Amino acid sequence: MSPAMPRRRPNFFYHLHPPTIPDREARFSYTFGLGGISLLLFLVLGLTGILEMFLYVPTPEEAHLSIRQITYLAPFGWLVRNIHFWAGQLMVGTVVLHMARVVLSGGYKARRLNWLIGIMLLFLTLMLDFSGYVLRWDQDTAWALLVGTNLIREIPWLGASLYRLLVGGEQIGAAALLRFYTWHVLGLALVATAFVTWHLFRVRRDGGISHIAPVPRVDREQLVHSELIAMLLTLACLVGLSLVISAPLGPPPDPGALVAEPRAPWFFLWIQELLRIAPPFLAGVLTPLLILLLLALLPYTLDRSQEGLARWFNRPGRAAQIVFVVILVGVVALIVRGALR
Amino acid sequence: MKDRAVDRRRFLTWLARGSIATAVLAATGQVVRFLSYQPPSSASEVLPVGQPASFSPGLVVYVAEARVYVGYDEGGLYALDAVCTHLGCLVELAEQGGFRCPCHDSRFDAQGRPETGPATRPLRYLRLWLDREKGQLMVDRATTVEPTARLTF
Repeated sequence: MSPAMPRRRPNFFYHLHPPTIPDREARFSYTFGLGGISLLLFLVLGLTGILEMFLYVPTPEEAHLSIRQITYLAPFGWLVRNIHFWAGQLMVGTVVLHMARVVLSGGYKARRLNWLIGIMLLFLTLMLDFSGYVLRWDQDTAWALLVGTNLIREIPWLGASLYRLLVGGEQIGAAALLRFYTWHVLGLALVATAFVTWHLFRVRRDGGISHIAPVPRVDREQLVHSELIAMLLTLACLVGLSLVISAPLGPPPDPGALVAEPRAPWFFLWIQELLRIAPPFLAGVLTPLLILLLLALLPYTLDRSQEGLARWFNRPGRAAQIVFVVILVGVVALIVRGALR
Repeated sequence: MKDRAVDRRRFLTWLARGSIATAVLAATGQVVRFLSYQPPSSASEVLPVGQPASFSPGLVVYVAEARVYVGYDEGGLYALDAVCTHLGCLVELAEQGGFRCPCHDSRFDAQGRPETGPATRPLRYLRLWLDREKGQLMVDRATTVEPTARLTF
């Protein structure tokens, strides 16, 4: 707030920010608001998810039917479900782009712990998306669940126990659906909430968005305003998408039906492509975990220099930037290849 | 004397930490066991696949209820599991003969042996027999038999 204006008691949203912030934090063109948008989508997912919990029944007999009730009978149920769906899809994108921004602008220098928390959040986002996808319990998701859980079996030594832990039986059934439901609405969601809070706390503890120490500080007013605008635009996109494109819902699963082209959810299509050419454990378990590990280690190995902090495409971080972009392009290319089949 | 007091304090601190760590570890182990519990399964692996007369020599028929391909060659009838040995999708009859898995494009020949793609194990031959009371062919999904096993009448 500028001194010329009459003093007002700052409201709650102002109090979420420190009184002054590094000036570039207020500039949309530095962060593109990607972290904040991800947070907003996370909150929207929580809210719409709670609404869906009132009507969704996590049993094989009723799951599909209850989704149809949400979609076709409950007033505005279709909108709630579509918003939940689209927020989930968009969040994968905004989280990855947020990560790209942090790598390419050297944002993780001097705050490596928060980078690791962020990697954990990427993992949780994907697990939440996959478990939510499974809850749809139609023909498509049944195949994805079958392939995904059979992959767990391929892990040496631990495979059989992990499979039992995840599926709750020798094959997919009521126990598996209940387990995925509980992980989705509680297990993963609570852990993700804790990590999101920690992630935000670290940003604030580190003095705001990454910056080089002597930097002009400005009043938080402008940041609060751009956050408000970003929030309204994101919500508008979300509702717009939800009005135009509905969340898919296929026929109920029939374990004996031959399906022409079973597809993984789009964010795992790249794994499905890898599974066509490499042994299951290597393609479906080891490669994704190694990619996460490689990303987690970037600021500990390839990009240890503090120089280039908060500078887009800084020279000391070049190697890490190239590794990141290569991985990202590879994954996207495989997704596109899978989608075009 | 003073040194001793420090030692005792240290000892107690480590004892306390050790107990807590042991308790947490033990509890975690039990949580894993709790989560690994499986209710007894009632699903039967023995399923009917139809009457003998519904199969004719030279043809391979898919039976969805049992997830098997029932074939009839010069040796007799056999049941080939439709579950792909790669990651569990159901294989389909390929246009050029044999079977193809739509998930990851594994291909098997007419005898279920892997040809190309990621699958390395052959499709399973399942036990097939005639239940004379019901007049039905039955398959036991839990019992694998030799690829040469045939049912004759």
